[in-house]
Amino acid sequence: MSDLAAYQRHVATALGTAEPTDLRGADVSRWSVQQWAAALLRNVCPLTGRLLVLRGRYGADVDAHLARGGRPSSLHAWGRAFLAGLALDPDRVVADVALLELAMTAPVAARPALPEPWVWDRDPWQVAAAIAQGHDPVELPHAELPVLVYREPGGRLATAFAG
Amino acid sequence: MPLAPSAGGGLRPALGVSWEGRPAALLPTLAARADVIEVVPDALRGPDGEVNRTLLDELDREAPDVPLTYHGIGLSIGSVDAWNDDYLRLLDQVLAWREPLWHSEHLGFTHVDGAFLGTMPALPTTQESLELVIERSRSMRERYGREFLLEHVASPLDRPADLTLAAYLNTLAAETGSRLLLDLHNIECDVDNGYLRLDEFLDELDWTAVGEIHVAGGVWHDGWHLDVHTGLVADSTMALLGTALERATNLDLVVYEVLASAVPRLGVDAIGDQLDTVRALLSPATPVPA
Repeated sequence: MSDLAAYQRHVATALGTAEPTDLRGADVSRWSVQQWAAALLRNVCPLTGRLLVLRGRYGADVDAHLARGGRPSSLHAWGRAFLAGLALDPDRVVADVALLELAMTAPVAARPALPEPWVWDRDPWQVAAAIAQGHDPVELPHAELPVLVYREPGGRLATAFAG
Repeated sequence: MPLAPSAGGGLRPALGVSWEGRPAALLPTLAARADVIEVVPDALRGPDGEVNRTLLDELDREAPDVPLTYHGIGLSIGSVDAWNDDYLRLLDQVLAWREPLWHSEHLGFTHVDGAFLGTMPALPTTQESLELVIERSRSMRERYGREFLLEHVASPLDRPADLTLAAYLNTLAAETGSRLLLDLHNIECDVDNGYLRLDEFLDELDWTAVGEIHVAGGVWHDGWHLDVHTGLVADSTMALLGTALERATNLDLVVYEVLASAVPRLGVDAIGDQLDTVRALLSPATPVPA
């Protein structure tokens, strides 16, 4: 391995871990990577990012996403991976909002499969509006009837009362 | 070349400003006050990975006649395994849209073994990295048939060095035939972080090779001076610009760089005023601050 290749792998290793390293400047560089990641992910995942901030867990979720490694250079692709991971979150509200945002923003080729049926106990558009206004959607009353979220044949997301 | 006549009848470098695709409300101010708009192709990428045509249309509408430069951040010219071909695809798309005066990139690496680092460390000033960058810079020039400027990166990460930064840059310019892009804030960061002696650098640099200069504002964190374009230009950077203007005889362009995300906090008016301040320095008749 060349000296330059060895140096670059040393840098990648130092930035990819929280462990102490002998590389001067690694600590502030890790901090910078985290700060940029947090800012950029909120740009491409604004709805879910805001919800995670409201829940006080955004920084930890960004750290976890960084720790997965294998980051692509495309911010949008990295953001979709962030949402796809959160769509499996044990917190049902976080999982639903993340999948909803992914379903709304992903290009056709990257669209996720939706649960069938995908039933919400609150209107998803009211949930989105509440988050955008800085309110945790669990504060919203349940819908009178369960709400079904589905994709129309033309590709648009739609809702209907279940049953 | 974007040289404009000065009040004294000579030629002065043009004034440029960076553009990352948003906010759209900033564009009329930039178009009215800058001679050149520096477009960051990476920032125009849409969710599908292609250039977002809406952003190009906005630029066509608000600044149809303002000359452009393309300033990339995604090429990773110094990655040993390979540079980032995906950036070249992006560059091809914007080149097919509008012809720039020239294009430029950074002397850094953003990928290692195909994975994105999330930051851009500076290349070590070693003979090995110099040879790699000279070869790839020549390839870029041949591929696109236009001058390809490279900018030294400020990074807090320690790195090996066979050569001084100035010697590295001088050789790069001499061997590639492309001029240098000198970011004065980056130089200040490296000085403040203990990686560079300013006087030695200024004396050793071949100033005839400098074609473009960047100025920007940064931040301090935990004792480190970081190159984040979130602010207005510090007085120290303005003073350094004065020094550079006296020395850089082939300088065509001075660009004020500001992050899109910083615009709401700074305000459009402040950015416009900053451009006016920089422009005043570009006039030979204007005294340069000490």
